[in-house]
Amino acid sequence: LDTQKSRRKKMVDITVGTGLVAIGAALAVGIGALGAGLAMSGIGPAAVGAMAEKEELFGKGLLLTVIPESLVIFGLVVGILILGIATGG
Amino acid sequence: MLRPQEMYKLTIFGPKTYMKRVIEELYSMNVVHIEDYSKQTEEEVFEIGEPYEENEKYAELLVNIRSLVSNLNIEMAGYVEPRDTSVEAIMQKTEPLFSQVTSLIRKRDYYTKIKDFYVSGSVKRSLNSMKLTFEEDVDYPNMIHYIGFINGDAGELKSEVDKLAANNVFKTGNFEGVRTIALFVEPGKKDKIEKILEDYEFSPADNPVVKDHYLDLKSKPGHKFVKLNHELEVAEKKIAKVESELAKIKQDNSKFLVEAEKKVRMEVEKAEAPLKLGTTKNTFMLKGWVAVKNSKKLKVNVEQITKGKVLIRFDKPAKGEQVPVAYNHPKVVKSFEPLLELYTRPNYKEIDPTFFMFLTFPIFFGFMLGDVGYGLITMAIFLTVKKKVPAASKMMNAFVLASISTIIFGMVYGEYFGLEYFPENMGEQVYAALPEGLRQSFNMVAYEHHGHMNYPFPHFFHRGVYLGDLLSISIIIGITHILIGLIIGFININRNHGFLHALYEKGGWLMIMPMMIFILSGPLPIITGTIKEMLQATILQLPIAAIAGLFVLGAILVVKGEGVTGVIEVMFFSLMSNILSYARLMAVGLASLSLAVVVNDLAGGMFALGLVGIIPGVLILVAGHTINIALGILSPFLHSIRLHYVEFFGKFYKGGGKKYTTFGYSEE
Repeated sequence: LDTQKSRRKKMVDITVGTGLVAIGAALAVGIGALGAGLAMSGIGPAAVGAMAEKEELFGKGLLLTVIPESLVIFGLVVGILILGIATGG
Repeated sequence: MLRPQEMYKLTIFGPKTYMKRVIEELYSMNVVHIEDYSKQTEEEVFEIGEPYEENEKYAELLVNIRSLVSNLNIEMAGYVEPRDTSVEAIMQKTEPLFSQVTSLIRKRDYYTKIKDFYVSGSVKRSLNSMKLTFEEDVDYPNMIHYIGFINGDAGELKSEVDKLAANNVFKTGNFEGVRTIALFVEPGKKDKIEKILEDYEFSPADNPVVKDHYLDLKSKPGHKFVKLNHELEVAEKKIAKVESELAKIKQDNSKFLVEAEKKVRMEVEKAEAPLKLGTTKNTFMLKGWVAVKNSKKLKVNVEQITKGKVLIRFDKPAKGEQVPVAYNHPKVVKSFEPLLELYTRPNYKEIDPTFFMFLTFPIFFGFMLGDVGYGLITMAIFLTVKKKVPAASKMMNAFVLASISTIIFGMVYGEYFGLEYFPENMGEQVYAALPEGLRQSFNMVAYEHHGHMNYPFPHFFHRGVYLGDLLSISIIIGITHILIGLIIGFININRNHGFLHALYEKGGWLMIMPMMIFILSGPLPIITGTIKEMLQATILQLPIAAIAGLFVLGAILVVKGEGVTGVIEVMFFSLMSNILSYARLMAVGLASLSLAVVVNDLAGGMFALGLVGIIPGVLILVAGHTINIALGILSPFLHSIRLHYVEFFGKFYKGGGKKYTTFGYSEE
């Protein structure tokens, strides 16, 4: 736990390398989010359409809509891994 | 608790003379789910029963009562006792009430339309609907005329006028659902004619000519006699009068109507019950389901009222039969039923996962939101909704539990509206006042940061700092959750299809799990720190060869059990993506924390400006935290429910159970 606290202090002096790593992590999350958004933009309307026909489908519609969400989470995990590599964790 | 209520298949068979009594008894007991009888083959002797004779009469009465309730805007919420009188008595009271209200409503509609004609300026057009032509042989100048609208039947009016004054001209038309008339009669019978017209609510059309030239006339002598919009005012007054009469009727009768509705509804339900039964000329047969715990009482009661002349039989449900599912939970767990219902009701054969949702849903919610302040506010919101919307009250109980868990996690994280530290001077005093040992045990250690001293609130774990640990905990929660899901799946399949199937379909995945844990804490460093050490001391003690062996064996079992889907799932590491999905427990919480911290920093900056900054500072605080709380309810809810529906239920849950609806009075 102590290493993490000191790591936080170390982050203050930023080099070009650290910046690039940060951009890499941001890209991982950002592009993941774009992908999830693209996928959801197709599923969402279809789910709402189905729900308009049959209200009981709310649960299933919600479920199908949130499935691509995992893409962002994976992006986030990769982002954290990248940051971890950069700070030697 | 983990299984739905155990059911017996029920058959009641007896002479038709007892049918009514049996139906009456079953209705009042309200414990039997009746299966609608349908004729499968031509050979079957039973026909679908006929409803009681009085059904039609009762059904009509029910329609009338409901139309009264809706016309008078009576609220039907809340529990009421059914009216304690016979249906006949209700009928006698309802009939005059119904005709009275109907005529009042018609009157109101009539005057409302006339009012609209004046407001929209379509009076002149409305008179065109009559296509007036003036016959040459009629002495119009010497006749009095009535031009306007009536509420009623024009034919009847004409015959009444004809009786009084045969020498008349009567024209009629229809404009937007209102009857228009033009009546010319000789002046002799003026009074009597006007009396008849009054019965028909005659409303003369404001003379459009007067209206068009009103301003010119106003400047002439005698303008006081020219009244603009007189008829509009009359119409408005009439509407107000009808409204007040309706209000009085509502006040006098709303209790009666609500009670009567309930009584008649019950009678109609009973009268229609034979439609669900099979009958022959002299016998009837009822098939359905009853919970085992109620079966004994049912048998005793029915035998008593029929003096044992009726056959009652209970059977265990046969394999593959669709048994209706009634939940079987203590009260706290019950509040999570709507969350399950949102997805699908469990079927009769499988483990009912409501109890697991009761355990994990609040934990996930609290883990993500985790803030004492937000917990208190969301709890207040949920309690208010619970009070205001009785329909949602059950679900709100679940959310209140989630709020309590939010508060507890808030204490663990030491977060209060996103604040984690005492203000500097206050912190110094508080820290000085507390004994060292106490401070140590709540991690209250002051440290310097950018030239300031930070005095953290009591906490066990600052999630904004220890990201790696937060992620590790999230993943471990995920692994545990999925393991529970797999084990439930194993039990379900073992019970319904045997041990081998369970081993192929779920056992395989259980064997793959150690490999996932190995990857996550080694090559893919997601699990770190203390959690990693704990794993290394236990499951990772296994030699790598054993883990790999288990993995290969598991993969083979899965492929054997699930076929092509299994191949794809193993190849793409579906279990890994399930586990990583729990990283959202960390991510959603951090997002909410970061937003709160940003809001506080912005507001703090404003406050630092002195007096000028106070108002914008407070505004930022209120708006920012309101938005964050709204998001803080929505997104932990959605993510928590998703983890249950996708990752957890995906491992075992089939659902599709039929709802157990008892024959008897229900509040819905």
